[in-house]
Amino acid sequence: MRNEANSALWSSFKQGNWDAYASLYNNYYGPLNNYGYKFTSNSKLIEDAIHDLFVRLWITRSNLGDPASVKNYLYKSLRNTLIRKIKTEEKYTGIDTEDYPSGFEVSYNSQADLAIEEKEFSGKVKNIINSLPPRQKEIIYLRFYEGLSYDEIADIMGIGINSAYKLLYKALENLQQTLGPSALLCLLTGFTHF
Amino acid sequence: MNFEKYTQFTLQDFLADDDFIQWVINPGEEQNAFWQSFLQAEPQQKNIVEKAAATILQYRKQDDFYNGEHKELLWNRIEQSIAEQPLTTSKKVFRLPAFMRIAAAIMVVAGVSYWMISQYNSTKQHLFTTAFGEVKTITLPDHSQVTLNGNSSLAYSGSWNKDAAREVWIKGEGYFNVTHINRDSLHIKPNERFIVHCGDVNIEVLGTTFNVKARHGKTNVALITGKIRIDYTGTDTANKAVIMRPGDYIEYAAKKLLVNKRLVKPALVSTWRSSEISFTDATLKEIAETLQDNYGYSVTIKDPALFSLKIEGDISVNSVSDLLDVVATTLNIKIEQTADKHINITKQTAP
Repeated sequence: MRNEANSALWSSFKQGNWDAYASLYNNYYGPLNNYGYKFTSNSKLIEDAIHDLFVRLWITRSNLGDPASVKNYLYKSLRNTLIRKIKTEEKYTGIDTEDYPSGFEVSYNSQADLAIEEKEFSGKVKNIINSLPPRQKEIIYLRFYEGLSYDEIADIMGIGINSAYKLLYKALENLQQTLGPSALLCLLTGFTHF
Repeated sequence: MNFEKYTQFTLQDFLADDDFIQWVINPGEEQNAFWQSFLQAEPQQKNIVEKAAATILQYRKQDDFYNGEHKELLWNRIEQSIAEQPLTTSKKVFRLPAFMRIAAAIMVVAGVSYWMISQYNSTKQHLFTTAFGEVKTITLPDHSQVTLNGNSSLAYSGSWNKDAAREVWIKGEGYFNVTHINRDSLHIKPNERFIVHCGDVNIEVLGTTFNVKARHGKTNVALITGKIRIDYTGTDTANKAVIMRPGDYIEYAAKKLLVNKRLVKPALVSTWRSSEISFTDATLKEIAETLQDNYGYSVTIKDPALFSLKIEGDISVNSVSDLLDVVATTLNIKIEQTADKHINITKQTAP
C-alpha cells in the first residue's frame, strides 16, 4: 500500500477529516482481518477488536502522533487489542496460556490443485511452519508475508530487536534442517523472476 | 548491493536477508538485474537462491481472510459507537516544570496583548450569500466548512475566540462539516460549542456533518455523522430538545416537530453539493419549490390536483432542463417554458 498516501490520510484524519478516517478504514479493514485471523478463527472477536481500535482512534485523534508507518501502527494496536480479547475469552473457557494467545496459525486450504512435486515441497514448508512455536510463526509471517524489517517487527510484537533476530534465526534453523543443502531437488514453484 | 556478501550465503542467510526478501516479494527491474548477474558470476549459489525464493513464495501461497462481507456492517457499528461516545477522558493533574511555568506566564502576557488587539477585529460581521443556482463553500475561523446551496445566506460575527460559543446564522440550505475540538464532554469549554441558528430552532453540535434547510417557514435537519442536539427557541415547553443520531432526519414547522424519522440513504440529502439535483420520493410540489428556491424559477401550477403527484424512488440529474424532461415524462404532464425562468405546468391534453 502506498505509504505516503496513507500518511497524508493520517494527518488529515488527525485534524478531524471524516472522509480521511473512512478511507483509512477502507484501506486497512482487509489486511487487519487477515492478520487478526492468524491469532483466532473467531472473526467476531477480530471485528470487535477492529471496532474498538477505530473508535479509539477517532476519539483520541488530537493526541495521536505521526507513526513512520500507518500500517505498522495499526497492526501493533490491533495485535494488542486482539490478544487482550483472546486472553479474556480463554480465561472463560479455561484454556490458560501464559502471555501468548493459543496460537498463530497459517492455513493452506486452497491448495488442492498443486502438481505432485510441488505438493511435496509445499507439504514440507507447511510442516515446518506448523511445528514452530506461535511467536516464531508470527515472525515468519511478518517477515515473508508482510515483508517487514527487524525493527518494524520488534515494534509490532513489542519485543527488543535482538529478540526479533533470535526468534527468526531459530525459525530459520528449522527450515534449514529440513530443506537443507542437498535434501531436496530445487522446485521452482511459481518462481518466475528471471 | 555487492556480490561478495552473498557468495558464502546459506539458505538460512538468504531467508534472513532484507534485500533478498524484498526482491522475492516485490521484484523490480533493478533487483532482477542484480540477482541475474549475481547468479551468472556465482553459479554455485543458484540452487540455494532458487530454493530460498521458492520457500518464501510457497509460504506466501497461504489462505487470505479479508472478511469483505462484514466491512459495511462493521463500519456502521463504528459510526454508531462514535456518535454515542460520551468522550470522557480521565482528568489528569500534572505540574509543569519551572521553566515551563515561566514560559507559560510570558505566554499569558502575550496572549492578553493579542486578545486586546484582536478585540478590534472581533466585532466585524461576516455575511455570505449565494445567487440562484450558485453553490459556494465557506471556511469558518475554526476551519469548519459550510457549503451553501443557491439562494441562501450565512452570517457570523467576529473572528471567534476561546470565551464564546461558535455561532452562525443560516437562511436557506447548507451542508455543515464542523471541526470537533472538544475532548472531554463533561467539561465543555464555551468555544467547543458550535450553534447554528435557523428558523425557530437552534442546532447545537460538537463536531459533525449535517444538512440544514430552512425555507417556507419549515426547517429540516439531516444528520450524516456525529451527534447533535436541536433546541426549540420558542417558549412552548411542550417542545423538548431532540437528540439526533447519524441518519436521523427531522422537520420543524409552525413551532412543532412534524417529522422525526431515519433516512435510508442519508448521503442523498447533500448531493446538491456536487451540483447534482436529486430527490427521493418527491412530489411535484417539492420539485416546484426547489426550482423556485434554489434556481430562481417561477412555477405556475393552476390545477391543485397536480401538486400531490409523486415520483417514487430517486431522481438524480445534472441540470434543470434534464429535471424537467424526467418530470414531464414520468408524471405524464405538460411543462412549458413560457418566458426565461418561467414555467407553466398543466395536465397533458389528449393528442
